[in-house]
Amino acid sequence: MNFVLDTGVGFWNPLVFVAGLLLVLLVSYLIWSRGEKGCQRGVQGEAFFSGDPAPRDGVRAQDLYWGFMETFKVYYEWMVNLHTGVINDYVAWFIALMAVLLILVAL
Amino acid sequence: MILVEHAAILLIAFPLLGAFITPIVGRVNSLFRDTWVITVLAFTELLAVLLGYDVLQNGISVYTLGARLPALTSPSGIPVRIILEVDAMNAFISVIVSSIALVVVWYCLGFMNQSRVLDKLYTLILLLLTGMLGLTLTGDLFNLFVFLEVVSISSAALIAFYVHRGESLEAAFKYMVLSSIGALMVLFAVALIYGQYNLLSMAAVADKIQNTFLDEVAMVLLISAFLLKAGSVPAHMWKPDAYGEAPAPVAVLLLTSALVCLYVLFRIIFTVFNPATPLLGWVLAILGVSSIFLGVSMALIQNNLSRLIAYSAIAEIGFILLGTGSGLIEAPYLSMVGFNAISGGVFHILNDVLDLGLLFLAAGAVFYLTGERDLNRMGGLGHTQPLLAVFFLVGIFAVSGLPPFNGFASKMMIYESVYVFNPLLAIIGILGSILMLAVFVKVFFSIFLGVSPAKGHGKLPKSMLAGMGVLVLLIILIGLFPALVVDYLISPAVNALINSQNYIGGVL
Amino acid sequence: MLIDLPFLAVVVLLALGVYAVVFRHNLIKIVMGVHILGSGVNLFLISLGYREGGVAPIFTHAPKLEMVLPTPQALTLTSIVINLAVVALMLSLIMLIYKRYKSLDSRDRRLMG
Repeated sequence: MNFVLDTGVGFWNPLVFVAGLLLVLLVSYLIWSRGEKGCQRGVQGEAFFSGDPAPRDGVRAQDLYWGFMETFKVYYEWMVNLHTGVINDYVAWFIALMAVLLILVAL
Repeated sequence: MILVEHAAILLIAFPLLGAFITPIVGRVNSLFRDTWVITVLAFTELLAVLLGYDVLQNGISVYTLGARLPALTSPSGIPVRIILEVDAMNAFISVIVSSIALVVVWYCLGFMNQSRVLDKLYTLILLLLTGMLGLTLTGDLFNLFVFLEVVSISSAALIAFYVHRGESLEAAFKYMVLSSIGALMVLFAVALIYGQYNLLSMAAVADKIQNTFLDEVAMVLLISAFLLKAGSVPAHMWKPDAYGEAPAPVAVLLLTSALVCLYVLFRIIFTVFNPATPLLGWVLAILGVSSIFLGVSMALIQNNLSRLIAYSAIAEIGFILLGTGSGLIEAPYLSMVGFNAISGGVFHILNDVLDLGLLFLAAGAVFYLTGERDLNRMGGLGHTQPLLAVFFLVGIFAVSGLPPFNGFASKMMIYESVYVFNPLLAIIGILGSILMLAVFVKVFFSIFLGVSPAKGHGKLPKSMLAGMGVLVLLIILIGLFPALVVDYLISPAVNALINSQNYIGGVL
Repeated sequence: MLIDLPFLAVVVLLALGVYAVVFRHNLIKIVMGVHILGSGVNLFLISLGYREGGVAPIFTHAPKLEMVLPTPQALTLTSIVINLAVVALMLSLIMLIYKRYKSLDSRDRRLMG
């Protein structure tokens, strides 16, 4: 029975990894259990939202990674414009793929 | 044993027969119908496992239709009959396909319990299974076209399952137009090959192939048609539409059919045309990398859950193409690194269907509980459904390649071998994997964390939990023992794939 | 020269089909394009099997042994039937789309991005 995955360059043994993971979890549990007992839930206060009143229904999915999307705005506008959703364009892309492959491989 | 001897044709015939008996059985009562469908699927699964075991023990198994004996492939030196040829690669794929179908239908028992058209749903699912198994097992180019159309027609009907929703109809129409054009290109390529060699059997064509200009045109037509069906960039656009609008279990089956088409692509490249050019490897690797990048970056901005998972499915297809393509770049592809790259790609077929299958089924469960597709309107489901949250988390970790789950093992094989060929490709792949985790962190946050929701207090049916549980179990087991899977399943499959002489020798 | 005529027709049919699918925005015309494409491929298959002066490939009472190839005819028959099923399914989908949205324009779509 071979438990070590040999990838030609490196190797990977999940069982050792899991054992290490359990060890780390145990250590962190020990540290956590020595913590302050008197800390109560619900004393953290309101979420700080740049000084504005926080939106009532929390952060929505489309607000996540706002900075990333803002940075790559040009790329995303380009991409969304390419994904038109018109079936004619889908077929045109397929024909283009075929034509490029024909030029690359057959000629 | 007679069952094993005829297993190849029974694998296709039994679900086909089962499909058309299902509406009749459905007139009796629903319990009887469910039992019947599950029995058909379990028997198919049993046959696939038996056939796979037989192939692993005794080598390639050939079944000739219409001959006096199944082994009589070429009575007068020319294989004129339709032949089913099963080697370790086909057997591996057919076991995956039939297992996923069983899991999906088991899940459907709970998921679809409100629906009144289950007879038709099960009929179509069994037909789709027939098409996929036929596509996997056939050794005949024209049958490839026929089964491709069986897959297309039944999946288009399944995508339009929610027939009252206009979006589903639109997605089904787009899928149907694209896949029928793809299938016509396949037929055109088959005609080009037949015109030159007067042969349709894949093994015989592989033996005679001259790599003339017309052959290369035929190869390009076949490759691009199957890339379209597998959903690689730039012909990926039907995928978010179709996966996003189909019911969740159907989306899993569509994913499986995409992987089957990918297998056919590999069979065509490695066996039928037996490529001498590393150019094809570069083409596949670059298409793979662009699929990874585009799929992940577009997934980041989606707000519809199934659509988002569909974009990450495009990225996962890219990983498979990247691994196999870089294995092809080193033209002899017999070096250890090339072999490992191809093994990583083939291993990722299995991992992809398990991980994304689990995510699609979990998305279906979320839809079942909340009736919601939009991520913006979800939240806090983790308070009421902790088990579902754990399942989803396992799927997320596996799909973004975190150790110790199964996705990590195959992605590591791909990265390490690709890095030897071209570091840039591997780095883009790793970046894609990291972005994938970011995408799914967003999904997990917006579905399961946050304020407790108004809806979603219902209970999930047992069958849905069981269906997802089986996939979770498989993911963890493969993640813990990847070396065993690679040794006993993947390496024989890859050996069968790259040694086309064995495939040819099975028939001639 | 006459032998090449069917192949020229194939090219014309394929070009027409691709033109209709890529540049026409009416859903019914797209389906017509797919069907024309299918007919082009079918014509290609059937003309591959043609042998000049050949008779129908039926061995009983055949006047001579010069016959056209039977296999492409079988393939074409199968592919015609499959095309019929595909076109029927697409037309029924269009019917439902029209009932739902009262529009047949492919640019009038809901799924994008």
